[in-house]
Amino acid sequence: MAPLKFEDNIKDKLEQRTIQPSDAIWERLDQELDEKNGQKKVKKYWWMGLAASIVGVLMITTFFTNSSNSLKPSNNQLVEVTNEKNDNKQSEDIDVLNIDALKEEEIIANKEVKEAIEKEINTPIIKKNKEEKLQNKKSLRSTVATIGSIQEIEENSVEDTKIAIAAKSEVITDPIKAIEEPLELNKGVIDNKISDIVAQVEQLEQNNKVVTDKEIEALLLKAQHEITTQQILQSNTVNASALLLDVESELDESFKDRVFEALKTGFEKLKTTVAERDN
Amino acid sequence: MKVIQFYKSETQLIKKAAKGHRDAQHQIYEKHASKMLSVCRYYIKDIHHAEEVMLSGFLKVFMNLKKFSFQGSFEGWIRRIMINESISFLRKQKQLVFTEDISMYKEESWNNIHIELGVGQIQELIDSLPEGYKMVFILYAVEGYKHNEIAEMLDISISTSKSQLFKARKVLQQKLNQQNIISNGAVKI
Repeated sequence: MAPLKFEDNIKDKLEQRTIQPSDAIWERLDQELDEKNGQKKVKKYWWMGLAASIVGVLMITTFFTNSSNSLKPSNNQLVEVTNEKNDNKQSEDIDVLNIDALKEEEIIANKEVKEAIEKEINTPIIKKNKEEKLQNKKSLRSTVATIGSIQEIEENSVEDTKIAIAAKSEVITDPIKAIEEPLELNKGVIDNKISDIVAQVEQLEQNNKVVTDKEIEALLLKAQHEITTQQILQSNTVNASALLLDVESELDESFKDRVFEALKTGFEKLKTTVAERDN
Repeated sequence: MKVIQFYKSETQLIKKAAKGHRDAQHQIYEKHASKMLSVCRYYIKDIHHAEEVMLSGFLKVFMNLKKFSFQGSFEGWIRRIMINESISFLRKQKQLVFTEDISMYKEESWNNIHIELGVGQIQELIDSLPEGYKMVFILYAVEGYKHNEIAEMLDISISTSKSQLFKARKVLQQKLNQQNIISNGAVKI
């Protein structure tokens, strides 16, 4: 048992012993713990970064897949729209053929009215046709001619003007009656306008003695607009194809074009602003 | 001025340290470092090496503090980590060699030894032992492990553990006898 006793002695003695480590040991331990924690943090951030990039890739992929999916149906829609347009155009062509005949007559009638009161109703529906343009030009020329005649009339007397215009309008009313019934409704309006303008010219004559071309022209333009508006308001029917024609140009613009247009406008605005500011 | 927070119970301190509170970790270190350096010194002769081993041991303590289940003493847990670190260190140094040569030691020879040794002398005696003998002797005589536990810890057979202990004791006996002769030299002629 002696060895055990000796060993117990050794154990007791050794157990009681303590050795104070140098201060540098804790400092090193402190540093190493920081490093270990730092490594952990770095690892965590790395994983976070990886997760974020995966999410990003997924989002981009989803975006592209969705956008490509959404593009396909939109293309189909576009094709459908163009078909519709073609249909519209075809039907329009037929309509135009029918309507043009009537309207040309109408235009001629209106043109005469214009001649009578310098410028008259120019149905907005037919603006686009070249023929109409030519006719408009003609009417303009005739307008110029009639301005001359009106001036002459003015020189003579206001009453003469009255008679002359009245006479012309009387001539006009017949073809209007012949063309279409709705235009008959306009007759009253047109007559009213004529008398209004004559009254205004009279007033001007009284006030200024000399009435300039510009003043007469302005009065006539005003009257023309009013008559057109009233015509549209009074007529119960709306020309669908004409309305569609108006909108067609807008439809033809693709989304891309509109975006570019908007960007262009924005850029121009900015450019102007910057230029003005510099000045 | 750095305010050091004192924790009421060891459990609270350990939990705080486990969460990475440096103050709590420092308190644990301050409380156990001197004892643990002594433990490392049992096995490792060089005090600087012992310090290095203790340092890496504490690093492991703090990194694995969450694994401490509060069953058994905390000091015992740290101590076990320190012992394992010392074993690893000696293995790396290739100083830990266990010989299978078994020779029966003479128990009666201990009867003549009646000397009181100081802790320094005991350490010297232990230091003089070959690493393999020393390891098993300390684990058995000082730490109180059984042969099967020592065999597992050192990855050796139980018989090797036993033989290492016998050899350690034999060497110690010889050394003590020499010590006895030196201290009582004049008496024995």
